[in-house]
Parts: sequence; C-alpha cells; structure tokens
Amino acid sequence: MIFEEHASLQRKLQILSDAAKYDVACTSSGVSRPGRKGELGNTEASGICHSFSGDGRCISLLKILFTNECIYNCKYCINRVTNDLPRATFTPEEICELTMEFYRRNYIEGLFLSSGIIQSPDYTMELIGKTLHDLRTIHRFNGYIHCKAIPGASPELVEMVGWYADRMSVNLELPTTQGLKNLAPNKSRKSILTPMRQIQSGMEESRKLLGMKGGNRSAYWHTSKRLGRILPGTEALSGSTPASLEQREQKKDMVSEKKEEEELQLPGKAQAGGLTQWNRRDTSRGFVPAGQSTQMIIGASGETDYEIMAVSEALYQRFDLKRVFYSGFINVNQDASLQALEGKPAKLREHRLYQADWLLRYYGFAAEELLSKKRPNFNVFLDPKCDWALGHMEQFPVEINRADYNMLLRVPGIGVKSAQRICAARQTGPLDFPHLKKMGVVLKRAIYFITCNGRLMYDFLKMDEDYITRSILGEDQAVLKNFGQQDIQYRQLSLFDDWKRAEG
Amino acid sequence: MKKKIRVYQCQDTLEGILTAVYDAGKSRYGHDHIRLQAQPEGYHENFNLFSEYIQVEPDREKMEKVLRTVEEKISRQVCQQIICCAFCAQEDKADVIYHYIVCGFAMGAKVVKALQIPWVQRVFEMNRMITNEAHYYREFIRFQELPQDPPVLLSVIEPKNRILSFVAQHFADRLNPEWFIIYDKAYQEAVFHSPAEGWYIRRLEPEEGRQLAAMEDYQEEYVDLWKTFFEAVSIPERENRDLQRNHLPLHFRSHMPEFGN
Ligand code: SF4
Repeated sequence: MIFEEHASLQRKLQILSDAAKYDVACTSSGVSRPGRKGELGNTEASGICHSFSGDGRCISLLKILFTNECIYNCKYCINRVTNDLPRATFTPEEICELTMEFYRRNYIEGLFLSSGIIQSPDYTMELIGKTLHDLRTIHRFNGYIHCKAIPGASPELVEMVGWYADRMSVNLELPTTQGLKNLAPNKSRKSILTPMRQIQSGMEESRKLLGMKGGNRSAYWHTSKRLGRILPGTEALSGSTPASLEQREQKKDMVSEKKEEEELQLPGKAQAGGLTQWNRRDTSRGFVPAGQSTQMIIGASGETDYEIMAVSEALYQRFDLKRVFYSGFINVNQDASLQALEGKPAKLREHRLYQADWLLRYYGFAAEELLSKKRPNFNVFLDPKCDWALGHMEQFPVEINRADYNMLLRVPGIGVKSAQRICAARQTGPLDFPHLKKMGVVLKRAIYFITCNGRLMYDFLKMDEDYITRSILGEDQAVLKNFGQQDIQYRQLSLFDDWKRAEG
Repeated sequence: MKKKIRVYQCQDTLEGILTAVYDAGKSRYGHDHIRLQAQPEGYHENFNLFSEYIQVEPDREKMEKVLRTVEEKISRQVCQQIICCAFCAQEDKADVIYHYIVCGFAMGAKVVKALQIPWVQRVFEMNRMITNEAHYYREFIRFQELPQDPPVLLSVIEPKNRILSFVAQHFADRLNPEWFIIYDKAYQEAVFHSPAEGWYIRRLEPEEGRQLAAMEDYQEEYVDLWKTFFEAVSIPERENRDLQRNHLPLHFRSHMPEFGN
C-alpha cells in the first residue's frame, strides 16, 4: 500500500515538474526574512540556487504545477486541452510534504507553484490558496514561495494568496495584444493586467503600513531614484499624474511607445486601500514582499526586440515589476502556424534580451537608447552595452579617475560592483590600468573606452568604431562558440545586423 | 651588509597567526624584512640559509590584543577581514595579514578601499575566496535524514578553505527546528546544532570522522523523489552540460545525491 502511494507521488511529481519546466522565472530573490523560532526556513534577498539542471539552468525552487489539466487552449502550451498526454493533479497535502522534506535537505529554497486551469480560474486559485495556507500555518514553513495568479480569478482569492506568497507573477504570455489574441484565445490583456495591478496596489499599501517588512523596492525603482526619474506607475497610484509628465509622454513621437501605452493601459485608476484581509491573515510577512514578476514568450509571434524592450520598460515603470523574464519559444506542439526560431540563435536572442533588461534595471539605460524603430533588433554579436557604446563614441574615452559613477556604468567591461570599487579606491589615490583588473573590470573590453590619468592603455588603440568592433569580435570568438556561432566571421556582421534577415 | 629576512613561523590557526603578528610587530625589526609563515603541525621545511627563523607558540592573550587593537585603531571591518583570511587555504596568508595590518595602521579604516596596494588586493581576494566558497556550500550542501529519535540531518562536505564557521549560522537560522550535523571531512571538524542549544563547532577524533562518513549513503525515498524532479525539470532541447559545469563544478558533486548513479 505504502509503496503504491509513493509510486504515485513520484509519478505525479514527474508529470507535474516536467510540465512546469518551461517556466523561466525560478528565482528565490527579493526578500530577506530571518528564521523564526519553530518555523522551517528563511529567505535571502539575493536568492539561492541549489542545483543546476542538465540545461545549465539554476534550480532554486520546487517548480511544479498544481495540475497539468487545463480547460484552455493556448497554442504554444503543452498542457492545452486538445493535447493528449498523461494528466495529474497534486493534493495540497502532497505539495506540502514535498516542499518541507526537500527544504530540510537543502535541495530547494522554497516552492514555485503554477497551474493549469482546472474547472475554473476561481476553483484553481482556491486550491493553490489552500496549499499555501496549509504550508504556512500547519507546517509552519517560513521559506520562499512564488505563486502564479491565475488570470480571471476573483480579487479575494488573489489577495489571500498574496498574504502567503513572497512573490507572485501573472504571465504576460506574449508581448503584444495581437499575439495574445492569436495564440491564447481564452485570455485577454485585461484579465492579465487586472491581477497585476491589484498586486501592485496591495504591495504599495503593505509597504506604506509595514515599512521595510512590507517589501523591497525593485532594482528599476532604485536606479530611477538614483537618476532622479519619475515613474508613472507610482504617480498613477497616488491618484494624480502630474501634467508635466503627461506632456512629456505626449511629446514622444514614437509609434511603438503609443502602441505600448494602449497595450498596457488598464481602464480606470489603480486603487490604493484595496487590501481587505488585514484582520484575517497573518500580516507579519507583508503582502507579496518579494514583489511580482512576469514572463513573456519570445519568438512565437514575430515581435521585434524594440517592441519587447518597450513593453518591459513600461511594465517596470507602470506596474512596478521586479523582473520580466523572457522565454525563448520552443514549439512543443509542433504547431505549423507558429514559426519558431530554434536552437542556438533563439538562445542568443534571449541572452541579449536579458542583458538589455539588466541595462534597464541596473544601469539606467532607456529602451529607446538601445534600440529604435529604425534599428529594432539587437546586434546578436555584440552585447547591447557594447553596441550602444560603439554608436556613441563621442562620449568616450572616459577618464577612470574622474568620471562620475553613472558614466562609469556605461563603459563596456565595467559592472555595478567594479564601478563602485573604482569610486571607492580613487578616493585613496590615483588608479592605473593594472589596478582595474583587480577590481573586476573586464579590461579586454574596457580598454577601448577608458583612460587612466589621461592615457589609453596602449598607444596603438584607436578611437574608431570599426576598428573597435573588429577587435572585440575577434576576441569574442570564444564567447560566440558557446552559442554555437564559431563559424561566423565578423565580416558577415552587417548581414546579420538585423534579426529578421538572420532568421530568413 | 644586507639585512637578513626574519621569518616568523607559526601554527596555521587564527591564534597562531595573530600571535606571530604580535611578536613581529613588537620586534621593531622593520616591516620590509619580516615574513610570516603559517605551517600545518609538524611541518618544518622551507628553510632558507639567508633567513633567520623564529618559531612562535600560539598565545590566546596576544591574539586577543591584536584583534582589539585592530578593531579600535583601524576598524571592525578590517578585523573581520583578517579573521576571514586566517581561514583561507593560501600559503601567504600570515604574511598578508601582517602587512595588511601595517597598512591599516598607516591609513586607517579606508585601507579596505585601497585596492591599488598589493597587500590589500590579496586580502580582498582571500575574502572573496572564502565568501564564494561559503556561498557555494550554502547552495550545494545536502542533508540526509538519519533515522533516529529525534531525526538528525547529516551533511558531509570537503571544502578547499575552512568555511564551516561561515556557513553554520546560515543553517542554524533556517533549520532552527532541526537537529543537524555538518561534517567537514577535509579539516576534520563538524558543526552540531540542536533546536534548544544552538550550534558549536569542534574538531573530531579520527574515529568519529570515520563513523560520520560511513553514514552518508543517500538511501532515502526523498532522494528518489528529488532525482525525479531534477531530471524532469531540465529542458532536453536546451541541454548544456558546459554551462551546468560552470555553475556547479564537478568536485561538489560527490556529496550531492542528484549526481549519484
Ligand atoms: S492556461 Fe496555462 S496551462 Fe492552460 S493552456 Fe494556457 S498556458 Fe497552458
């Protein structure tokens, strides 16, 4: 009997983790919560990976679906109703057991619970809510929980889950409304953005009342603050958008910016004061203290990188997201109507989007600095920062001993940590090239863009876009090799500038 | 005539190294002519005819004096960095600690930022080694449950640096309702934790070490479940063993059940 039961738990786990594997948002970051007497677990702000699977991705959370049954029929999804495959559904008890036992053994940092839609969005959300409730209150689990909000579920249920989860996410699924219509006919932009806005308002309220415990700000928010930018998302929350901001936005003459506004606009204002369960829930963790994230599928519906980055930027600004994840489309259903860019190129494109996303969140770049309507796709052979720098040679070279922090951050080869170290070290004395390496600067990348005490590292370096591009690509063969591009020479660069052409 | 280099040889412990720092500092022999060498017990090679050797006996009081002075005259952070270096498996660590303290007395608390100075760089590197390795172990330590009453969680590790004291608090905090042991096979010491009493680290007798090592077998049902999950969650179309190895170097895997046969 016991064996029977365990065999079935193992089988369910196999089916429901297999079904969850395409979800890319497996991080455990965003909240630092110390252990509590008698409770299992704590959380670390930076998150912790516990293993790495055969595809090289980090395993941090027990990433499973509650069920892989689904009444919907999203074209890109393996679990869609029309597919004939083994189906399984956990009980809340089983998920609690797996989470607790895995956590004790330090296999995982917590639970990532997503689900297909069984019976109705509310019914599904309720089962998820029960699982989280039991985990927190009966099993006294204090580790990390990431949970999906199901589009279309009622606000009460979304709120309940938000009191138990650390992070929530609603999948945007596809970057554009049109893409969503075509590929996920049962979902709408509105049913996705509504819970997103609800969670955002709830977090805002929780932060106001609970302070630090209510949740951390996102990297994007901190970067914007450092640069003195106003975020429309936060303005909208307080109920008034300053006229100047409106005007500024109207002035932007970019077509896709307009489009993005239509796309990500929700009818009606976000309501602060929307949390209704303060008395009924344990509020000591705050409401969704690790913030919310989302993911979109890249490459299934023909968007440009520019459209994608504009959407991400808008999400960071208007919905206060912690992270946007990009999931390179894998055509699991072999659906002929979906052209997928398979294999290495898809991975490389996804990689560039993550790098660009990083530039938005930590380096203070705006999407429109990196791409434009005229040049809507990243150069896959150069990282986006390098690409940007090469297009802005007039701003270089930068003097290491004088440049301000924000400018240092824009130098290829200098990251957040090395920029901080440079700023600290130069207070104690002038810096020269050999010192920089020890501070984590990637010199082979940076030398074209910096001087130390007025000198370039080598006299023969030229401040010339073509020369630098060639040198960097020459060195980068090793990097490209990782992505299976070793046979492509830099001379072909112009041919591949535009992804559309590279795809064809 | 050129002044002879004077080498203070000491035990490879925080106490040993800081006692040597104390003696060397008091000697007024001149920093440029002083070297410190931390040596494992019973290790007496590496003599050089042109140097003068002094054997230092560890002295708790001298260690405490050094720590107190560094904290007062330089900073608490420098004090912590020094302790960190002492746990690092690097041959030059005693020498680095000594000269770092000398720099610290000259520059004050801002010495930590002066990465232009080689001694400061080395301290920075060693701290990073310890932090990185400790971080790896926070990720990759695996426990198995020993069937006892109450159940005890056991983990076996073989770190390069002596990082046990840098991970103990982390696990004590998150696993506070559990009894657990983390056994460091490389340095023959272990953390013991109980819910009521907290944790301590102690050196193990060889026999104790053998016993703990023999208990590591990963025969539990949850190991099978974990392996099932581990395999299922990987995307076959995206297999990338190199990337996996970059993130999770092979030498950790001998104590991780998901990589067992
Ligand atoms: S609702 Fe979710 S699980 Fe169901 S078909 Fe769509 S993407 Fe798949």
